[in-house]
Amino acid sequence: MKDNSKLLNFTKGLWKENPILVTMLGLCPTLAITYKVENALGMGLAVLFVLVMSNLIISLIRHIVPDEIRIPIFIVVIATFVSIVEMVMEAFVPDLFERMSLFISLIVVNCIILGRAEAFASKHNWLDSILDALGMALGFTLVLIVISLIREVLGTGSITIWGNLAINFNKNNSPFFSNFFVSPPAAFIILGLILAGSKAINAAKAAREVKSK
Amino acid sequence: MNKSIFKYALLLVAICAISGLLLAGVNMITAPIIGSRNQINEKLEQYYPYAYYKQADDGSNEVAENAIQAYYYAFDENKNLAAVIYQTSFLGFKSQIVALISIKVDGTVENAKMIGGKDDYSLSDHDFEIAGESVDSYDYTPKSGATKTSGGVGAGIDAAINHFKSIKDSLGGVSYEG
Repeated sequence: MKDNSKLLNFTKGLWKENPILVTMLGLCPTLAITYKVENALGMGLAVLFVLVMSNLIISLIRHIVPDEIRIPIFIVVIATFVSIVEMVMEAFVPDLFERMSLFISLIVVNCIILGRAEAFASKHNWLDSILDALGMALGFTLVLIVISLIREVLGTGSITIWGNLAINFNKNNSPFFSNFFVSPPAAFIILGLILAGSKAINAAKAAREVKSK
Repeated sequence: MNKSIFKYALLLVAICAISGLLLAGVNMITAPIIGSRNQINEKLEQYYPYAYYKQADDGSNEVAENAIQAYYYAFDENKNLAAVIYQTSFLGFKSQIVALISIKVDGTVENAKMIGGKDDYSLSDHDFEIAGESVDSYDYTPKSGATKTSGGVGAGIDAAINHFKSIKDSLGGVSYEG
């Protein structure tokens, strides 16, 4: 039973409580940086590190943090890990950092991170908090990757990762591929379609469950 | 109430101090890397007329000796690839000589600039008289009076030319955005 709850702590972030598809948190970077798969991977890894580390630390110090000052303390912990990510990215992946530096800084105020700290890590043990963080971060990253795959492929006809041309679908300069898909309005449209798709899947699943009862 | 405020303030100070120490530790590792890259970027902007520079992904930016340390793609205002600029480090008279060697995409050597090293002979203001030479016919002659120092740059020029020849055919696929 206990093992099941641990598995649930991890898996709920992937679909059932996915931060983008269900709770609709972290939409700002989701819309802004998903014009390249490379950006989605970078943002996903950054959020994964910050979320796991902040959940771990907040869970460990939860008994010594008074309720009255918990939010400033959470913010200091989160800001510390975001600053570490910024410094490491600037040193080792400068091109990616140049494109995303603004949105990396904004992870400090990303509602997914503060939300999980307040709603989960401050009330659960360190292992559950890490599992929750991993699930939420992977759920967030997977949706970013799906959106960026659609936008980059339809927008440029290729997928480029870390500067090397990975796959080129547009060898004949087809008019099917349009710059529109890498523009901000396309991000809204594609996110809307994905949200509609996820709601439809959940509705169909719920209907099946009712029917089987 | 006052006692609580004091306790809260102390706790916040302690957490901020731990955070500061952690950030200082990470900064000790990353600052030299960021600093050396900024220094190179300043040199590139000082010596070359191009609008944009981008380090090639396979450039390590490590302090490798007697080798090409890194190379950069230089783009014009329209973001078209204009030149490849190599950062090389080869042994001179007393020290490793760090040089920038620029080769235009048409295969002509643009110039060579000595940007680092502790040799007595500072050749940093000289262009080594190689501008306009083709990579196919270039033959480096050491400077008399500073044979070993200029030899450090010359070895870098040879390494840069050999590398340029090996990547010349793939330069068409290089873009600023990619």
